[in-house]
Amino acid sequence: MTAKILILIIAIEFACTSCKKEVIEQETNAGKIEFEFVHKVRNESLYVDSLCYLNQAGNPYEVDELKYFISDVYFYNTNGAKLHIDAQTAIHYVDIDYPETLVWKIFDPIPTGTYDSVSFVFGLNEERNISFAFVNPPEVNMFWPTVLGGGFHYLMLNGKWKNPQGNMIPFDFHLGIGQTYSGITSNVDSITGFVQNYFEVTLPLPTLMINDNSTNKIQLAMDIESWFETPHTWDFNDWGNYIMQNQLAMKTACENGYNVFSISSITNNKKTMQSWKDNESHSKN
Amino acid sequence: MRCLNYLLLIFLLLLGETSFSQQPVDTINLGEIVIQGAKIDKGNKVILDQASINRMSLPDIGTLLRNVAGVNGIRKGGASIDPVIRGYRFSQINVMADDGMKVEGGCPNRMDPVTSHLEPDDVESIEIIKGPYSLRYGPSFGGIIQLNTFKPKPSDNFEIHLKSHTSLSSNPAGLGQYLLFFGGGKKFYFGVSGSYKNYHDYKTGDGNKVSSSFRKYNYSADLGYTPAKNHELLLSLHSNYGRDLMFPSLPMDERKDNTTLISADYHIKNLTSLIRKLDIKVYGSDVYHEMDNSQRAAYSSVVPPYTGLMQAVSKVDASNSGGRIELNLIKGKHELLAGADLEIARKDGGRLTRMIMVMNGVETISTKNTNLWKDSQMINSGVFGTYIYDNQKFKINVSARFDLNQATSTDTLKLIKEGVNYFNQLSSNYTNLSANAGITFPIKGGHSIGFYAGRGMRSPDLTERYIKFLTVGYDSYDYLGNPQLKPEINYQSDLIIDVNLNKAGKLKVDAYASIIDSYISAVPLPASVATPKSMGALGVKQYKNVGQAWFYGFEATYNSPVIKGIGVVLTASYTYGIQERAIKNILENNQVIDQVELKNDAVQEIPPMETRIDLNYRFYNQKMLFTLGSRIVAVQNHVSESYYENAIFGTVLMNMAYEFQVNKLIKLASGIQNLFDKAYYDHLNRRIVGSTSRLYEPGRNYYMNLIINI
Repeated sequence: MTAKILILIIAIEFACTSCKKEVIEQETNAGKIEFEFVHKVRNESLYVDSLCYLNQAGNPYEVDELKYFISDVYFYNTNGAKLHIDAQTAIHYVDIDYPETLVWKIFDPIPTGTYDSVSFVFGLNEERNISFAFVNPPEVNMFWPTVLGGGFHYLMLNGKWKNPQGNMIPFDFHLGIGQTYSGITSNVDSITGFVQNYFEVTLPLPTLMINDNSTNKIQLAMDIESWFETPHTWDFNDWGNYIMQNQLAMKTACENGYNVFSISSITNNKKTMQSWKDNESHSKN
Repeated sequence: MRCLNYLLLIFLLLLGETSFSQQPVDTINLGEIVIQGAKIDKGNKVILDQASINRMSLPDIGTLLRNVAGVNGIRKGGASIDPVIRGYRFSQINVMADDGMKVEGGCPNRMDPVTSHLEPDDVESIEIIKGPYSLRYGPSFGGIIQLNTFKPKPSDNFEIHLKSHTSLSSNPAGLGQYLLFFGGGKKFYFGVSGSYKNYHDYKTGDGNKVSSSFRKYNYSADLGYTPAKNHELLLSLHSNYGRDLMFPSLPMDERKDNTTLISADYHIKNLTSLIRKLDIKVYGSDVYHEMDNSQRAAYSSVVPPYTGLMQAVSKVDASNSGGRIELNLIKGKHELLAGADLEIARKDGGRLTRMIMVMNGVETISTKNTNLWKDSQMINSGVFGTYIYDNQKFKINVSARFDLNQATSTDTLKLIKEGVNYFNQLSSNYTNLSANAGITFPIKGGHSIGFYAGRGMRSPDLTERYIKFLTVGYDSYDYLGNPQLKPEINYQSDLIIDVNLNKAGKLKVDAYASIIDSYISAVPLPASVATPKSMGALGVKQYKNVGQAWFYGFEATYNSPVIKGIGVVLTASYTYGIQERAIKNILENNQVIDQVELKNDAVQEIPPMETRIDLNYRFYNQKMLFTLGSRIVAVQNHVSESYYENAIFGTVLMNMAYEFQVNKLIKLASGIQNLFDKAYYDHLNRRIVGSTSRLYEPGRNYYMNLIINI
C-alpha cells in the first residue's frame, strides 16, 4: 500500500512537470519603429546647467530642464494609407533627466512598405489632456493646475537668463492650456475661458522602408534655439519668467514651435522581432 | 488531463484491496499549534477547535489558517492575512461565519478579508473543506472556511461563567485582552464579550522595522431563548472596529473599519420522526471602510521625483444580507439535507485624489473624485440538496446546487474603443449548476479510501465585475472590472487514502486535480484604452475569462504512535497550477514595447511545497505539552511570467511551544516563533509598495497566552 502511495505522488509530480511553458508565435508581416529624441542648440548637442547660449534677442541663457509630450503620431505610406500609433499608447513623454524616455520603442507593428512622412501633436489634444490621467513620476510632474485649465503641461523648458542688469533670472518656458481673463490681471477668479495650445508637426521622411521583422530607428531632433526665433524673436526681458497665465506669450511660443523638430537620421536596426522573441523564449526556459 | 489519467489509474489499482471497517479519527499537529482529536470527515474536512485557536501567538485567524496543510495566506501588513486554499483565493473560496453568514469586505485591496471581521477569541471552531464539495452554504468553488463563533447554551440551573484570554507578544510588541461573560438557565441564556488589541510594528529577522501596527476592538452579545422543547431562537450581534492598520504592501493604510454583524437563528429539532432538524437563519453584515495615504511621505511632503503632494482617501460602504432555510431528513441509513438560500451583496464607494503643487509661488490644489464601485449589487439565490447514505460498510454523498445570480451597478463609466466594449453593459444574469459525489470505503486493517468528484460554479464577484482602477492584484497594475465576465467552473477530484500502519502510526494522503473552465484572470489593456489611476501602477489590467487552468497537488499527514508521551507529526502539501493562455506585456524602461501570448504559464500566487515536522512531548500527568516544530519551505521556481512573479529560495524555520494546564481554571500557553530569527518571506507575501522587495515575515517572537475559565 505504501509503495502505491509513493507511486501516486511520483505520478502526480511527473504529470505536473510535463506541461512546459512556451511563447506562442504569431505571424506579423510587419516591422518596428523606434524614436530616438535628441536635443540640440544650433546643431550642437544640448549642454545643460551652463550659461553658454545666446538667443536671437541677445539674451544669454542656460537650459536646466527639458520635458515635453508628443502624441497621436501618424506615419504616411506612399500608397496613401496612414497609420495611427495608438495600439498601446498614443502619448510619449520625453525628459532629458530620464534617459529612458529618450527612446520610444513603439509597440504598434508597422505594416511593411514605404513611408514618406510622419506627423504628431506637440502636447496633448483635448481628448487626451485629462487631469490625473498620469499619476506616476515623471509624467505626473507635468500636472497643469485644474484652475488654469487642467491636464498636463505640453512643455516644460526651464532655465535661466541674464538680464541687462547682469542678474541671473530663472525662466519657466511652459506651454499648456491657456486662459482668457475678463480683466487686465491674471487673477484666476477672472478666468472666462480656456484655449487649447497644442499644435501639429509634420515632417518629411527621407525614405523609410519597413521590412518584415526589421526595426528602424528614427532620430527626432529638437532645436531649442528655434523656440526663441522664427517667426517671433523671443526676448525674455519682455515676456518675463512665467508664462503659464499669459496666453499671448504661449501663443507666440507655439507659433515658434512649428519648426523646432527635424528628422536627423533613420537607421535600420539588424535586431529583428523574431530574434528578440527567440531570446525571450530562451530566457523563459 | 494527463494528471487526471494518472489519478484514475492509481485509484483503480487501489480499489483492488477494498474491504470494510470503521473510519479513523485523526490527530493533526499544525506546526506550533497542536490539534488533537480533530476529526476529518466528509473527505477532506478539517476542524480546528478552540484550544488550537487559543494557542495562537498573534490573534489573527489568517495566521492560524496558514498552519493547516494546503492552506496559505497573503500578507500585506501586520494583520488580516488573506487565506488561500490550494492556490484558490479571494472569491474562489467561500469564507463565512455561523452556518452561512457572509461578510462583504469594504477594501478593494482586501485589507479586510472576511476572517478579519471576526474576533478570533469569539471563534470556537473553524471548519475547512478543500474543494467544491459542500454546497449547503452558497456556491462553493475551491473550498469553504466556516468560522463558528461562541453561542450560549441552555443549562438546567442558572449559571454565570467568565473566560479571560490575555495574550502578550514581543514581535510585534503587543497586547490582546478578551473577556467573555456567559451563562443563563433553561429558557434564557446569553454571552457578552469584548476585546482589545494593540500591536506595534514588527521587526524582521534582519532587524528591519516593518510598518505594520494595528489596533482593534470589538464587542459581541448573544441571546438564546428556548420557547419550547426542541425549539431554540438565537440572536447575535458582533461589532468589530479596526483603527490605523498599516499595510506597507498597499498604496494606502486602513484608517477606520467599522463592522456590524447581526443574525437570528431558529432551530427546531426532531420535528417529526422523519424531519430531524429545521434551521432558519437571517443575517445582515455591514462594513464601513476608510483608507488613505496620510502616513506615507508623499501625503505631507514633496518626495522626489514628485514635485507636489499626492493625497488620496477612499471610503467604501459594503453590506451583505440574506438568509437560508435547511431541512434535515433521516430515515434509516438515508439522510437528506435540502434547503434554499439568498445572498444580497452591495458595495458603494469612491476615492478622492488631491494634487497640491506650488507654481510661481502660488499653491494650487487639484482634486478628483472617482467612484470605485457605484451602487454595485449582486443577488445570489440558490436551492441545494445533499443525499447521504451510510451503511457502515461504505458512505456515499451526492450533492447538487442551482443558483440564480444577478448583478447590477449604476456606474457611468463607458469604455468603448474601436467597437470593443471594455466597460459598458453593466448588468448580467447567470444560472449556475454545481454538483458533487463522493464515496468512502473502509478497508480491512483500519485503512480507508475515498474518492470525490465535483463541479463548482461561481459567478464573478463585485470586484471582478465592477472595480475601477485600483492595484488589487498581485502585480503592480491597476485593475478594471469586467461586467460581462462569465462564471468560472471548477471540475475537481480528490483521492483520499487513510493508511493504518499499526505500530508505526497513521498516514493520510489527499491527492487532487482540477480543471477550471472560463478561468478568471486579467489581461493588460493598452494605455490608449485606459491609463492607471493609482500611484505606482505600471498600467491597467482587466479581468477576463482566459480559457482553462489546471491545478494539481496533494496533502499528506503522518502521525507516529505516542510512546512515553512523545509523538511526531509530519505534514506536507504541494500545489501546481498552470493556465492555458496568458498575455504578458514586455516592458523596457517602463514602456510596453511588445506583448506575447504564453501557453502554460504558472498561475500566480501558488505556494511552494511545504513540509512540517513536529515533535510533541506530553508530560507531568498530561498537564504539560512541549512542541518543537519545524517548517520547511521548498524553492518556488514555478512562477507566473504574466504577473511578473519572482522565484523564491527555500527556507527552514523552527518554532517552540509550551503549554501548561495549571489547574481546572488556568491554562498557560507560550512559545517562541522563528526561533533562529531568520529573515524570510512567504511566496504569497506581497511586494512593498514602491519597491521590488517582498514584505518580510516577523523575526523571532516570544509570546505568552493566559487563559482563565471560571
